[in-house]
This record gives sequence, structure tokens and C-alpha cells, in this order.
Amino acid sequence: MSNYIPLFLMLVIAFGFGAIMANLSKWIGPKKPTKEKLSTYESGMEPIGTTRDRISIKYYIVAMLFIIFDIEIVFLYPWAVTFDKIGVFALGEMFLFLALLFIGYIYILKKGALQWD
Amino acid sequence: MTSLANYLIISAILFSIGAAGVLFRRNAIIIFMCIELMLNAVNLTLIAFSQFLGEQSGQVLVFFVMTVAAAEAAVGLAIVIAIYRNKETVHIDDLNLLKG
Amino acid sequence: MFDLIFYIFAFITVVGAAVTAIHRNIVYAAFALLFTFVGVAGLYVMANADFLAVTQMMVYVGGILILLIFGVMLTNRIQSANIVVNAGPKPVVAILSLGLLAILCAAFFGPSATHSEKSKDGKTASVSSWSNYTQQPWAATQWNKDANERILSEKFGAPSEVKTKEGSSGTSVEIGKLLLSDYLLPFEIVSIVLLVALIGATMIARKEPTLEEEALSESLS
Repeated sequence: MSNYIPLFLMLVIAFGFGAIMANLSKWIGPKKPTKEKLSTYESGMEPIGTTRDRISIKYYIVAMLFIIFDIEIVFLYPWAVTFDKIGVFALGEMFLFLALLFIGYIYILKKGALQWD
Repeated sequence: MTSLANYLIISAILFSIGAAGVLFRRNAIIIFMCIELMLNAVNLTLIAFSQFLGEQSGQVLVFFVMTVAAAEAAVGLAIVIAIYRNKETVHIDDLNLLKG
Repeated sequence: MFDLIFYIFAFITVVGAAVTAIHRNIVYAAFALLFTFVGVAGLYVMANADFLAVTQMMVYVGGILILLIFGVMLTNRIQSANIVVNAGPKPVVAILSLGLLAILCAAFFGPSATHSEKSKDGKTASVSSWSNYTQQPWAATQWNKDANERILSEKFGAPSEVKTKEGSSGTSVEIGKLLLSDYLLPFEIVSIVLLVALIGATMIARKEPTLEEEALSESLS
């Protein structure tokens, strides 16, 4: 368990650093708000509409497919560390696993789900 | 030292919170979140017992639970999106077409 | 020290879960869920499940939570007045969930768990209430340990690590072995589940182009 002490410290420091840095300018910076300063900075353009817009559904599908392939990658890790002990059998099993998902990938590619338009 | 009892209490609390959320929230996506909470509670129990009994099968089971949870999240949210596209709402009281 | 870390993670987990279930703003609820997932990952590490903690971060925090937030962004009109309506009978729900908690705790620690346990070698060891054992630290409560050993380890304290030796490669090797031997069939079935989820989710979420749109895109190309 003591292996994880550095990891825990890292977690604490990362969270603390992030929280402090995000708020430091708010705490110690001078505040002289004007109307222009408070408006949304949009590279010099006049902002149109609100920031809280709904985003395109197309990207949602990419995120959804990402989860499935994320799981696939997670399954590769324990396979990779035990692969040398089990041998060709494990290789075949993993190829079967990957082949099935590859079929799905080909299918959605042909169906045009990953096309932006 | 941490003991099995601590883990069981935490997962019982987590599961109860998840169940309460499912019962009293009316937004389909929040209900999803609460289902994930309940799945996490069960996973925690499995891992605690796997450590308690000193064998790894429980962890493999958690692995499969996570996989199914991911598939469930993908398909379930796709359904929520499809419902929203048709009915412009994810408020489950408005989705009562199958009610007799 | 480890107790303190454990309670920190437990606190993060439970508070995050409570905020998720209660907060009116759905974006805050999703953000609180992040803390719950991280806290649960920490608890996994405390239970020597390091690989699953990493998996938890990858799958839940990196995948499912992002997808949930996308779902929030796609389905909520934030401009409209009441985003989330908590229209449930709150006292009833509170009573029901507290009852559930009581039932779970009774099942875990109550007298109904009293029974005699058959140990591996066929001897029937009378276990008055196994909740006695659940109170012990991990190392002292190996289920199949001899009673002698159990008493000894209770008396003199036990090494804090049972399974994971210093500098070992963690649990991923064990999980990999089990996955490719005892759990081979589930492992292959999982790939079919993922295949179905892949195709199903794509088909449901994708907006089928209408006939005019198809004609338009054909005439453009």
C-alpha cells in the first residue's frame, strides 16, 4: 500500500495547484470592471447569441463510439501482460475479440456514421 | 486499517443514494447518473469481498460489470437523444405513451 | 495514515453521490459524479485493486461521464426556465431509501447472517456472526485461514499486505490470467456485446437523412 503514497501526494498536489491557480487571479488581482471588460472575449468579434448553446449531434456519436473502443483498449492491457505466459492461444483469442469489433467498425464506417455531414 | 465493514457501509450508502435519486429525479439523464452510482456501489462490494476472500475472481467480475455499464451508457444515452429528438423532452413524466 | 486517506476518499465518494442525487442543476450533478468516480477509484486502490482503479478512471471518468455531459448539453435548453424539476414525493423517497439502507446494513451485519460456515477441508466451523470478522483489518480476515492463524494474527497484528508484494506488477497479471482461462467465454461474449452496442448506439443516435437531403447530397456530389 505504501507504493501508492507518491500517487496520493501527486493527486493532492495536482488538485490543490489547479484550485489555487484558478482562483489566485480572482483573489489578488485588482478589479475595475467596465462594460467592455465584462463582455465575452471573442477574438475581437461581436459575440452573437449565448454561450450556452447546444452542440452538434455529430460529435456525440464520435464520443459514443470512443467509449466502446475505450473498453476494447482496457481489455488489451491484462492480455498484454499475460500474453507471453499463455502463448498462441491467447493471441488467437484476442484476434477473435478484435475481429468482432472490427466488423462493427467497418459497418459504421460503411453506414457513414463517422462522416461529418 | 480499513476493514470489510467500512467498504460495505460505504457501498450500502452509495447504493441507497443511487436508488433515492432514481426514485425522485425526473430527468432521464440524472436517472442514468444514479444508475451508474448504484453500479459503482455494487462494484465496490465485489472488490471488497474479493480482497476479503483473497482471490481475484471478483475483480474480473467488476471488469465485466464496467464493460456492460459502458455499453449500457452508450446505448441508453443514444435512446435518450432519440427520444429528445422526437419529443423535445427528457422529463420522464412526459414520456408516458406506453401507459395503459 | 491509511485510515485517514480511506476516510477522505469515502467522504469524497459519499458527498459526491449525494450532490449528484440532490442538486437541481444538472451540470453540477454531473460534476459531482466526477468526484464520486474518483473517490471510488481511490477506494479500489485501498482494496489492492490497482488495475481496476485505472480502468475506473479510463472508462467512467474518461468515457461515461463525458458522454453524460454531452447528453446534458444536447438535451437541455438552458435558457428555458425550469431545467430540472424535482417533482417527486420527497419524504416518501427519503423513507424508502433509508429503509433500503437499513435492509442492506441488516443483511451485511445483522443477526440473520448467523450460520455455520463449512470451511474448505470439510470441517464445520461454527461462525457465530460473521460480522465479527468483517470488523477486522483485511490481513486478519482471510476467509480460509485456520482459526489458529486467525487468532495469532489478531493477537499480534497482521502484515498490512496480503496479496500484493512490494514491487509486484499489481493485479493486472492475475486478471489477465483469469480472463484468458476461467473467464474465456464471457470474454468473447463481451466482444459480441460491444459489437451490438456499437451498431445499436450508432443506429439509434444517428439521424436518418430524409429523402430530400439524400437527393440533395447526391446532386451535390
